[in-house]
Amino acid sequence: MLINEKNIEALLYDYAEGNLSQKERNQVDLFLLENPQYKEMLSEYDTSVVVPKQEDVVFANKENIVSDIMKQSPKKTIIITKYVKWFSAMAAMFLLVFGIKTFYELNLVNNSKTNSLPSIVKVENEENNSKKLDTENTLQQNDLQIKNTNNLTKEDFKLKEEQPQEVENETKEEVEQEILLADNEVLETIIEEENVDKQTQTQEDNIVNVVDRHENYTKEVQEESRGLFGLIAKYTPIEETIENITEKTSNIISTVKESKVNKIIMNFKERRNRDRQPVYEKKKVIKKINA
Amino acid sequence: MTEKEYKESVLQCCDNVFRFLYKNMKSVEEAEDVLQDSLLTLWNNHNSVEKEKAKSYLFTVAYRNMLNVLKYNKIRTGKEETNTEITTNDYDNKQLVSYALEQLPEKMRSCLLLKDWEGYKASEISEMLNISEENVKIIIFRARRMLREILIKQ
Repeated sequence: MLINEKNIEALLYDYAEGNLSQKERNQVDLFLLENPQYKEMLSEYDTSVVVPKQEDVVFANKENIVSDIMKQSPKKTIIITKYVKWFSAMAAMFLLVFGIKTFYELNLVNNSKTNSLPSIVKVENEENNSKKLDTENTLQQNDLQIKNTNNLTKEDFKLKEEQPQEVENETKEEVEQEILLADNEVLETIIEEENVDKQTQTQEDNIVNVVDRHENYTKEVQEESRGLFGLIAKYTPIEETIENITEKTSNIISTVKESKVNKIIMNFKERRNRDRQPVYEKKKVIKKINA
Repeated sequence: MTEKEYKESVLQCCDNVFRFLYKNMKSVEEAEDVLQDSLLTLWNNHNSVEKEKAKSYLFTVAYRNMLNVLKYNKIRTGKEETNTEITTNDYDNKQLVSYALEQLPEKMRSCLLLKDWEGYKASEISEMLNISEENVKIIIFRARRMLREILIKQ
C-alpha cells in the first residue's frame, strides 16, 4: 500500500475508525514516524466527539401524510408507461408503412428500368435469365445428385458422374449440327451462285462466239461475194448455214436486248441477299452460346 | 417494493430523514415540505425500488431536494443564513455540539450526520451524496477536526 499526502487523511480516518488491518496499521505507524505533522492531525481527530441524536425532533402526522400520499396514484410511472406504449405503437406503424412503401418503390424502379431497355438488350436479358435459370437448375440437379451419392454405391456414383457429361455432349452435338446445317445452307447458296454465274458466263461467251463467228462469216462472205466465187457461195449450203446463224444470232441479240439474263441475275442476287441474313444471325447466336 | 412494504419502510425512516433535513435547513416547515416531496417521489417509483434500499433512496432524494431549496433560498435572500449564536452560559454539551455542527459547511455536516446519526458507512454515504468514498472519508476526517476546534474555542 502506497501512502502519500493525497491519501493519508482517508487512511487516518480508517486508522481512527479501526477499519485497517494490522499490516496496514503498521505501515501507517511507520509513515507517521517519518512525518510527525500527520501524527498531530490524528490526535486532533477525536472519535469521542459524536453528534448527539435529537430524538425529540420527529416528523409530526407522518401516518396521515403517508396515507394521503399513498392515496394518490403513482402518476409519473403511469404517464411514462402510457407514452412509451403509444410511442412504440406509432413507431412500429411508421416502420411498417415506410417499409412497404420503399418495397413497392424499389419494385417500380426495377420494372421501369427493365421496360426502358431497348429490345435487343431485353432479348439478351431474357437469354441471360434463361441461362441463369438453366445453370441454377443444373446446379440444383448436381446438388441433389451429390446428396443422393451419399446413399449410393461407387458404380452408381460413376454412372451419376457420366450423366452431366452426356448432357453436355448432347448439347454440343446439337450446336454442332446447327452449325453444320447453317454451313450447308451457305454452301448451297454459294454453289447456286456459282452455277448461275457459270450459266450466264457460258451464255455470254456463246453470244460473243456467235457474234464473232457471224462477223467473220459476213466478212468472209463479203470478201468472197466480191469475187465471182462469191455469187456461187451465196447459193451454197454455206449460205444456209449463215442464214441459220444470222437468225440465231439475231434471236440471241434480241434476248440480250430484252435483258432477260440481267433480270435473272438481279432476281437471284436479291434472293441471295434475303437468304443470307438469317444464316449469319444464326451463326452469331451459335458463337454466343459457345462462348 | 409493494405498497405495504413502502408504508413500513417509510414509517421507520421518515423521522431520521426529517431530523437530517431539519438539522441542515433549520426550519421545520421547509424540512416537512422537502420530506413530503421526497416521499411522493419514492411513492411514484416504489415499483422499481427494493425495500432494502428504500431508506438510502429516500435520503438521496431528500438531500437533493434540500440542496435545491437551500440554493433557492440563497438566491432569494442574497446571503447565507446567519448562524444563531449561543448567548446563554448554562448550555449543555448537546447544545454545544449542535451549535458547533451548525458552523460546519453543508457537505461536512451532511456526511457527519449520516455517519453519526444513521451509522452509514463511507461507501453508502458516497452513493447517497454522489461523491467518491475517499472524499467522504477525508470530509468526515476534516469535519470532526473542525468540530473539535470549534468546541475548544467555545
